[in-house]
Amino acid sequence: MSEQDRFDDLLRSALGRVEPPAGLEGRILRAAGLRHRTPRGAWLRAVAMVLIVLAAAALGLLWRQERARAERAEQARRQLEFALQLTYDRLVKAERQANSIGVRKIRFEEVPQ
Amino acid sequence: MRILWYVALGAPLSLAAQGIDWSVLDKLAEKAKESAVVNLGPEQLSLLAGARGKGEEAKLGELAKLLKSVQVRNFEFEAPGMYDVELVRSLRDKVKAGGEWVSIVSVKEKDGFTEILIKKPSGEKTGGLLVIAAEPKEVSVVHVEGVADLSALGRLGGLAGIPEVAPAGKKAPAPAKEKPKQE
Repeated sequence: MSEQDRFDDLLRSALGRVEPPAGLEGRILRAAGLRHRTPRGAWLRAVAMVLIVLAAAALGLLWRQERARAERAEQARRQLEFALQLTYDRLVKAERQANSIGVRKIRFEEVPQ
Repeated sequence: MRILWYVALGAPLSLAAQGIDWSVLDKLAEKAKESAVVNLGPEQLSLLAGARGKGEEAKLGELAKLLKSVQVRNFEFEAPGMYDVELVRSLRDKVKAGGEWVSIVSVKEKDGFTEILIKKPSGEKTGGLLVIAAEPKEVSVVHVEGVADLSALGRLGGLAGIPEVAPAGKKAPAPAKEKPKQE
């Protein structure tokens, strides 16, 4: 066998089709499947993120409701104060008018009619 | 025309049941230079009744617990004669004719009057205070539902610039006239 023939044989054997070992395909597919599966930690992180967002949204809603309630209470407070002030002004004015005609003190008693 | 509207968002009050025809007064708003309207119902008052705090806020909260409703109509006019005082007088007469309200102070003037009426609580009906004042350039009507008598007004002392009730023999200082802030 010449040098050329040996080289040809070597080349043929190197380039020839080699059957894979038994079970290689299955092992490769299993490995790929494991790689694509989400790790448990990632799931937990996602759930935690969702919970944080939900909690923040709930807190924001509560804060807005509380602020609206406080605004309504403040408006009501100012209205009541205004009503009380006006009532008081009128009572004082009535008392002054009564004083001007000689009544020393208005006794707030029911007058039979 | 500058108009101050203090209108609460609460449930409409059964005005007709209280014997006060507010629509008569609301017509005056069109001619008024300044108007102030307050309608505080149980919902708004409960907001105040639940207020925690000290001093004025707590006192106001205590008072709010007693009250059922507060309504105010206050109209100021540019000049005398811009409204018909007879309109207000007829409102007063109608209220008095209803029999529920008793006049405790009645001051008559040449071109106006001031009438302070109370309604005694009876059965399920709550007491009330009604102030109707007609002046040449101003009309004020205040209706406070829930106060049984004027002693309840003693609780106003120290609130909203109202001085504390003066002891017997001492005259309470005049109140500082202060308009509510414009919204």
